[in-house]
Amino acid sequence: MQRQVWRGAQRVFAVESMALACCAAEVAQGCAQLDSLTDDAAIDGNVLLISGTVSVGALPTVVARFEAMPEPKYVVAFGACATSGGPYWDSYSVIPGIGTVLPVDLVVPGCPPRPDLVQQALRELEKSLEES
Amino acid sequence: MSDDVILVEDWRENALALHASGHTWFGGLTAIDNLALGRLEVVLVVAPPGQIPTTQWRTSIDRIAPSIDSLSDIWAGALFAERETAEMFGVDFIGHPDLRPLLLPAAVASPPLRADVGLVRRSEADWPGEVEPGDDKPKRRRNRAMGSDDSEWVTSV
Amino acid sequence: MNTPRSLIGLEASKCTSCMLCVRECPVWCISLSAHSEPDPQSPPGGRQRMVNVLDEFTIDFGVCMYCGICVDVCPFDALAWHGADAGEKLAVAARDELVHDKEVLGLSVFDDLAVVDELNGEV
Repeated sequence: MQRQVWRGAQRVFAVESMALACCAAEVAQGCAQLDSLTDDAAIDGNVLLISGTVSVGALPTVVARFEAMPEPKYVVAFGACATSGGPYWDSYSVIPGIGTVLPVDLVVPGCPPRPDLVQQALRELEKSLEES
Repeated sequence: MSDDVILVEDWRENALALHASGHTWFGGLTAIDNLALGRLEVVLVVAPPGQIPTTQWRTSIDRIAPSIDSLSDIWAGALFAERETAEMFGVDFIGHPDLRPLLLPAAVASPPLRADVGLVRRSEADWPGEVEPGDDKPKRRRNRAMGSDDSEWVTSV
Repeated sequence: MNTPRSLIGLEASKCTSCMLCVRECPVWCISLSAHSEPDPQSPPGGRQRMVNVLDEFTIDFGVCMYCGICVDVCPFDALAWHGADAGEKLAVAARDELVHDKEVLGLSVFDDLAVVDELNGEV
């Protein structure tokens, strides 16, 4: 997945999107304004933006991607499915929220959240890092 | 969509005849767990290419140990459809070259789309609608979430 | 302000704890608890009527899919689309922080009950 770069007020994040289901449409729109990441960009952190229903079958790929990311790295769960399993929390083949497997730094509720909330979530993440 | 009911003995012969007569486009193959009938129905949709399918062919097989001839050598599309039907309903497709699971993790105990198999997570969760407002204790006759009835379920997925 | 798919708010004074929203929610994200009390408006000398008093009402916005069935089904129009976007107001660090109780669900806009009626199309 093509990585993009987000420039906040204090930090620059490399953003990698793993859009697993319908939220992909909003995330694609939300990331449309972001530049592609170039090799020589100075990065303060790597964000894995996970959206859509995390199925049991897809989980190894998500975890592998997270483990391969360099530090400092952060996980944003975008949308109800990534946050809690959403309407599919009861399914035998759905992970009820990626937070049950990976450390999640920010959850964005919505079904789906609006596209502009992608960048707002990154701003929230930056703010929480500044405050800590 | 009109239904053409085939005897299970004629399933493969009927399929070969359909293909030979021009129904070379594979629309789908799935199953329906018909508890009222006590049978599993297998449904096939095919059509001549370029035509909107108007007929589905269906047959019924035993629910306890369901098996039926594979059609995957007639239509290549049936390879995936029969794998999915096998894992979701527990049907054995005789002659299918590769019936390993298509979508499900290996650990699922019962075919999930059977009508008598429920969702463990939901049946184990406390339904917030179970309590009667104004009471501290649940009533003698428990409220059930719509669509749930423990007595009919083998809860094992 | 009638913005479907936004956060959902509760006007607790209208809620009778009938449980319809709780039972109709397809994802089981609403819970409520209530107790019964003697109705202060029971006519004197008659049989003492009991009335439900809402103790707690929570919606888990992490599971909510913003379908609005609860809003539609409430016979007393106690639930309404708040208008604020869930993702905008509630992007938070902890999953548990998305479970909102009746204090949060109650809206300052509902101070004016006429606004509630308008939201529910009664005007």
